[in-house]
Order: sequence, then structure tokens, then C-alpha cells
Amino acid sequence: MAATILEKLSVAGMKQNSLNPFNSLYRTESISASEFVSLFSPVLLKESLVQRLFEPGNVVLCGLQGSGKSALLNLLEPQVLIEYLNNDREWPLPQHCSRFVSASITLRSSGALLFGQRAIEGVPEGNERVIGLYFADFLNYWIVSDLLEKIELLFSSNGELLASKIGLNTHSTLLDKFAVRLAVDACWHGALDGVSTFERLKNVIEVRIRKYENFLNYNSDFPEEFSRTKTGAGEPIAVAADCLRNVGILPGDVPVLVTIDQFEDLMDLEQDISESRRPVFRRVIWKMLGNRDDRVSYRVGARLYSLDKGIHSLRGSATVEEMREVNVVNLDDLLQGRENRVSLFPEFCDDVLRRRLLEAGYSNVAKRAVRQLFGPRATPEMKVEKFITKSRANVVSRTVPFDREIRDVLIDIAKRDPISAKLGEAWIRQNSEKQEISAGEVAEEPWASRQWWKKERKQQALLQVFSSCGQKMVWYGSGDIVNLAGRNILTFLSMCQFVWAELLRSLDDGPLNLPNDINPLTQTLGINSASDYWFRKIKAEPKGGDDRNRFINELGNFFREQLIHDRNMSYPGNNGFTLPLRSVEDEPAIDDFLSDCVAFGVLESRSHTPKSRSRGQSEKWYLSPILSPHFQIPAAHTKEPYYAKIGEISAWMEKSGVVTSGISVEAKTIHRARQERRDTDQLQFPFEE
Amino acid sequence: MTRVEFREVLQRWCLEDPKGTDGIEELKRDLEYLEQELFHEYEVTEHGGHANFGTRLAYWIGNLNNDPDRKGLYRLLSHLFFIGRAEQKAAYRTAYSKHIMQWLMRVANINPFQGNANQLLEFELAATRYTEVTDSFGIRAFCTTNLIQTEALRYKWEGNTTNWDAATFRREVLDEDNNGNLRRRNLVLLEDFVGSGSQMLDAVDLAVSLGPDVNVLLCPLFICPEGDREARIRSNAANHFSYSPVMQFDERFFISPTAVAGEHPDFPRIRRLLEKIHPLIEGGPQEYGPFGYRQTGGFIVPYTNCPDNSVPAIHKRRENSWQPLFLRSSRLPV
Repeated sequence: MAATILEKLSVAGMKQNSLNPFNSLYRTESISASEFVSLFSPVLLKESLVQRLFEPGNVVLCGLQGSGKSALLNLLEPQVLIEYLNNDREWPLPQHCSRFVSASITLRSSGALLFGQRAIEGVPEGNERVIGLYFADFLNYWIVSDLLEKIELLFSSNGELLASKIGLNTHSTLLDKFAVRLAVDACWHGALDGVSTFERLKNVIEVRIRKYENFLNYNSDFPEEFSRTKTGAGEPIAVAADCLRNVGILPGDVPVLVTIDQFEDLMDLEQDISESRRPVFRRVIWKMLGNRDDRVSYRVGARLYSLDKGIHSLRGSATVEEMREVNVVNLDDLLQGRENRVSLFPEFCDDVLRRRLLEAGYSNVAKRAVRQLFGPRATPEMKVEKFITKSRANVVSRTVPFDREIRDVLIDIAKRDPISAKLGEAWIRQNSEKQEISAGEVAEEPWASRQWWKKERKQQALLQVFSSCGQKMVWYGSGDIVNLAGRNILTFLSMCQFVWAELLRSLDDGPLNLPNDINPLTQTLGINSASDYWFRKIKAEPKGGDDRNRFINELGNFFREQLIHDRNMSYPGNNGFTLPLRSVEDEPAIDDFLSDCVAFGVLESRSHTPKSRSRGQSEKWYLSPILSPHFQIPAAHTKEPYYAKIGEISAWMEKSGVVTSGISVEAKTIHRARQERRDTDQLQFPFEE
Repeated sequence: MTRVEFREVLQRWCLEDPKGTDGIEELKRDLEYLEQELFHEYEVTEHGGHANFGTRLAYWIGNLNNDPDRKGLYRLLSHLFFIGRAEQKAAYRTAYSKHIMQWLMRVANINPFQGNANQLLEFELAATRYTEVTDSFGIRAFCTTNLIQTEALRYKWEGNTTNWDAATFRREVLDEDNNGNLRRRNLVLLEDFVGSGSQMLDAVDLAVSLGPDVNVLLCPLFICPEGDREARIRSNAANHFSYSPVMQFDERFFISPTAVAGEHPDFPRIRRLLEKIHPLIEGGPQEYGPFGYRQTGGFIVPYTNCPDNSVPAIHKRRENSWQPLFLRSSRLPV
């Protein structure tokens, strides 16, 4: 009954205004093709790197959870493309990469993960290589089966328009011709012997997949004939593509693109069958990519952590060389702004938000939907003006190294502009030892003209102002929302979800019309809740989430203490830390742990040029921006980060209970040797000259 | 105060508590969750134009006109104990499957490891009469939940204690035949929520007076310390009377009019607040002071109705002066 009413409301175009449009964060993974085309944002397709997904050549599409990988890969599905064509929707792809035939496998839902469930009879225990061969055989059959299904769709009346756009020859006799040609190929080792029709081909392949599933689910014994008919990784898929071309179905210039999504799930499978966690199954896929076979191009959707260690360990087997057989498209990197390039992320947020709101039934949604919903960017001065409710005299420290007259001047400034007063206090602290400072000079606010000095310290001043007034920092406006999302669309949507939930709690019924400039208080509370949620979520992530959660807690609190107690504001960049790369590499336990933190999205890292050259090539790490409200620290990265020593990282890890062996003896020896060498070098300086 | 106004006030309190000393943000999240999951079950305000919990909360906080008192009233909710429909159902099941079963095995001396234990227990169950002290217990729901069949007679003690006659009771409720043989020799007195026990004890005394050939069990689902004390005294005095509550509330859940050693650190503040605001609430025939009936000082709200021994700030309505959060429905004039 309830469903009927909901259907009627939806038919009538009415919105369910008491529902949260962001309740389901992963909408594009669970909806029909027709809904997908409404919700899918094509903004990322503007990037030429992303366009490679639709061009010949192997591509690994990686990114953190929720970065939009699966949505992009979904665009390779003919059902989705047919929806665009058949309903006169604007074609999402650039013309030069609009012609392809595709097949796909989602490892989680295909049954491939059943391979960890039962040992294969006759295979010596621990013989991972043989298990890998059967896994490859299963993938081959599954992908070919999917390819046949997609070809059949293109031959149907529903797929007519797309087939014509691709340039397929859909003459009815060609399918059987294709089946015969494919079945006789040696790659099958006789498993398809006797197949003479397309229907029969589909059936034989389907039976083989069912036999695997039955065996893995303990419903039957292992089919004996499989041991003699194992197919080579990727070979039948390439042969199928070849046959499509040879019989004239597929024009020679149209690529066959095969998608393998949720690559990271194979890590759990590898853990199930191998204590040493060797990448047995990932290696199979890597082999498919490394075949140097241009008949088929692969797209692999993977979370970062599954590639990080994978690539290192697989490199040894020399099957793949980055940028040679594989284009690596990292969505997280792609969305990062550079000095000479504006990030697409704000536009991506606008488009995704606009589509969600339209889907929820709201009208008059602006192109810049983030600004419409959350209001313009809020400056530190605006935040202070709006939210500091306690006496502004509190802003100026009671224990200051200068006389009362100067303090009184600062309090006067604080009444008008607390941020300036806080900056003034720091400026005096920094300069009072070098020069005599008078109250009259302070009243003129000389720091106000030091543009860069001021800019670098504003966020720290904001933190100190809120802290000295005993209030939490506030986060609102389009600028904060987009910055805190840290280039991850899932994080952005989760903030929208929490803010909307907070908004709904203020109302008896949900908003009938689209709210503009949601109350900053509501936004702040929603964002705080989202930040707490993401902090808790670290724990739930696999492969050491609990350790990372405690470590980040230690680190976040350390940063906050540093920023609050740095009254001189000498270190405004202490919401991140830097380390010389050589000291990290000397300590594999710490290197691995920090890499995991980055791969799981709790830390961000980038290269850093330290102040002193002797420190060598360095890397800097920051908390994921969404964690900033939880720790009440600024999200912006300004000035120099905290210059950490490897021992401090080890101490933080130890304090937060991360299980490591600490700084290893070897690392200490290497460090000492380097130090000695450096000392010796110094002694050899030609002082006499 | 409207819901929108209240939310703004609440959001400000959260920002003004950066270290979580007042626990406002944590309490806010707890209450938001409970509002969604539990508080909407409160039956008294479910129909009849009462606002939903969120709006009632805004009205309730808006009863006061200064920020510290408003915040204090809000923080009082961290001590609220709401008994929802699912909790009541779980208590029904526990009462039957644990407390009544264990009692029958004890009085009939059934060894659970003997081969015919099941059969003996069935026999005792057939000789058991379930009664309710007041109709708020809901004996019908109790029987349905526990699949107790063929219980046509559902005896209620409330309203029958004044001219109660043991012989009539034995005949009509315990199915005594003309030879004085009891078909139901096990008598269970059930009650959902017991405060001081004044209503319950009358029924217990009459049941115990039936004599040692009738095994009596008192099984309240939820009981407050005063009622618990009284029930234990009676249980110690009569061998054929047993007392087995599903859940007894500890003293620490109740605020007393004067400070008690070891009480919750919030209580001195809450006590001052309840006394300070009571002039806004007091009046009417059921006036028991800031700590409720018999000065019990409870914060307990069952989904069926708020008891009068919970603090009146939660449940009492005074025209133009006090809007309750969980309005109490009373049998007596208010």
C-alpha cells in the first residue's frame, strides 16, 4: 500500500520532502540505466585522462572509496549508452571515443570471490599457481559470456541505434558464423567442440560457469574435464574479439573494452588462500593486462590500497610496466588543483548536487548548486563576527610579554576585529625581542599591511580566537564544504547528507522548496557530525583500520595542541608533518604504515621541498580534510609543516598502540652511518682556503 | 519556542561546549537517534493533535526563559529511561521464559536433567493462572507474545480488592472443585511498572492470604526501589510467596529531595533546577512536589504512559505555564 502511494506521488512529480535526498550515498551503483543517465555527472569526462577509459589501451582507474570509479566504468555498459540514445539524452562522451564494444565483470557479484571457499581437488595444498589458473579460466568464461550477452543486446531492436552508431554489422546469420569460428579455436582446448550456433555457444559457456559455482558452493565434485581444458588468462577473450572482427560483425577500428571492477576484493581472497598474502589472483588480472595484446583493452577499477603493494610485488614478475601496458588514471590526483590548473572538483560537486536535488523533485536548482544551498564562501572574519558570542576581550591572552597599555589596545582591536587582535598579539610576540614596541604603534596595526604574513596565519588565528572564547570552530559555506570534501565525491555527499538531516530536524516537515543558504549553524552541526562519522569510519576499514584510527587520533590532537599553544604563530603550518624520504625508506614498518594511511584516505601526502637542503628529498603528510572539524584544526595547508623526526612517528605509533617493531636496529645503523658520513664530509670542507 | 528557534539555541550550545564538558552534542545525537527510533512510540501523545517529540521538546525547553536553566533542563534528559514497545515485549518474554519457568521448576521440584522434565513442566504450566495487578500490564499481549493459549479468564486485581472473597476467588479463578481440589495451584501476579507498590501490595497480600496450598509469584516487569523493598519483605515472610522482577531499577536512577552520598554528580544541579522551576508546574489535585509521587524522583517513561512518580517537570501540564515533554494520562482528576 505504502509503495503504491509513493509510486503515485512520484508519478505526479511530487517530492517526498521529509526524505533526505542524500540518504543513499552510492546511488549510481544501485539504480537502473534510466535513472543512471539522470544522476550521472559527466564533468570528469572533460579530463583527457578520463577519456582514455573509452579509447583503446589498458587503463587502471584507481581512487579512494567513493571517488566515482564505478560510476565512470558504468558508462561503458551498452545498456546505459542505449538509454542515452533511445531517449534523446545528451550523449555524454566525446565523439572520438564513442565507438566501442564492451564486456564487464564485477568481481564481488560475479561469484569470482567464491574461489576462497573451497580447495580444488587434486591441487597440492598451497599450490597457488594452479588455483590461479582455474581462477583465470573462470574469469575468461565469465567475461566471454558477458560479451556474448552484450553483442546479443546490440543485435536486438533495443540496441539498434547504438549498434548503428558503433558501426556493427548486425546481419542475423553472423552470430552463428561467429559462434562456429570461436568454438573451433585452440584456446578452448576442445571444450567448445561441436558448437554450431550462437545459442549453443552461450549455453555451453553458461554451463561451465555453473559447474564452477556448483563446485565452489560444495554442490558437486570438481569437474574432472576442467583440469584438461584450462584456458590461458585473457586468451579466449582476445580470440572472441578477433572472431567478431573476422566474421565482419565488428569493424576493425572499434575496440573491445573489458572492465574488471572491485579489484581490491581480490586481496581478501588472497588472504583466504595464502598466509603469505601473495597476490595470486591479482596477478591473473595483471597478466591479462600485460599480454601486450591489442585485440582487447582492459579497464580495472581499484581502490588505491590494492594497487600500492600489488604494483610493488608484481613488478618482480615483470608483467606490467606502468604507462607502457597500462595507463593509470588516479581520480584523486586528477581532481587536485595545480598552480597552472584549476581542479574540476568544485564543478563536479555542483553537478552531482544539482542532479541529486532535481531527482528529489526540487526545481529552480542553479548550476552552481553548492553555492545556492550552502551560501558563499565564509571568511574567517565573517565566522568570528557571526559566531563569537562571548566577550571578545577573552581573545587577548592574559599572560602576555608586554605591558598592560598594549594589552588594552589589543582588547580594543579585539572588540572590533578579533582576528586582527590575535594576529597582533602574535606579531608583538615575534617582534618584541628585536625592537621596542609602543602602544601607539600597536594601535596602527602594522601587521595588517603584511599581506603574506597575515594570510599564512589567519586560519591559526581563527582557531585561537574560537579556542580562547571557549567555542568550537565553525565550518559553512560553499568554500568549506568543497574543501573539506578533499576531492572525494562520497565525502562531499556525506556532508550534504548530514547537513540535510540537521535541517530536517529543525522542521516539522521537510523543506517544500529548495532551501537557499542553509543556516550556517545547521551546516556547522551537520559538518561536525559528518567529520565524527568519517573519523569513526576509519576503524571499520579493513587491514588495520583500528590502528589507523588510534594513530590519527594521536596525530590530530598533537596538531591541535601545537597550533593552539604556538602563541607566536611561528608554525602556522603545523597541521601536517614532513619527513626526509630516506629516513622513511630506512624504516619499512613506518613506510608501510604511512602508505596504508594514504591508500585508505586518512592521510594525504605530497612531495615537499624542505627549508634546508641537507634534509634531502622529503614528503609531507596531512590529515584528510574531512577530519579537520573532528580535531578542530584548520584544513588549509599553509606555510611549512611540522619538521618531524622518524623517531617521533615511531613514538606516535607506539603511543597509539600500532603494532610495529619500532625503529629497527638496521635503520638505526644506517642512520648512524649516514650521520657519520655527513660529519666526515663536513670535516673535509676546505676551511683553509 | 518553535522547533526552528529551539534547534538554533541547541546548535549554539553545541558550539559553546568545545571540549564536550556539558556533553550537549553527545546528548543531542543520542536524543535525535532515540526520537527516530523510540520516542514516537509514546502512546499518550501519538494521536489527538499533540505535536511530535521534536516540537514538544522545543515547547518544553521554551517553558523556561533563561539559557542556563534551559540548558539544565535539556541535560536532564541524559537521565531519561524510556521503555519502548520492543523493550516491553522483551520483558514479557523474559518474564515467562525465565522468571515463571524457573519459579515453576522450583516449586514443583523439577530437575531439568530428568527425562520427563518437559512433561512435568507442561503439567505445572497447565496448573498456572496468570493475573494482572492493573490493566496497564496488558495480559492479552503477554499471552499472545508467549503463545499462552486457552487462557479464557484474564483476572485483574485492580477494582476487585475491596470486596474480595477468598472462596469465590479459589472457585472462579483457581478453578477449585467441590472437593476443594485446585486445578490452578500456581498463581502469578503480573504488573508492567511498579513504583512504590501501593496498588500491587494490596493484591499480593490477598493472594498470599489464600494459604500455603497456592504458590504465588509476583513478577513485575519493571520495579522501582521502594516497591522492590516492600515486595522483598513480603517474600521473606511467606514461604509460598516468591518475588522475581524482570528488571529492578537501582536507587541511583532516582533523584531524592535531599543529597545522598554517592549520587550522580549531575543530581545536585538537577535538584536545584527542579525546585527552582516547580512554581511553574505545581498545582492541581495531583500535586506531589518537584520529585513526584512519594518523592520518588524518577526519570522513567514507559511508552504506554508516564508514571506519577517520575518528576512532574517531564509529564505535568499547567495551563499557560508548563508544557510537558511526555504528557501523563491520569485516571484521577488533574
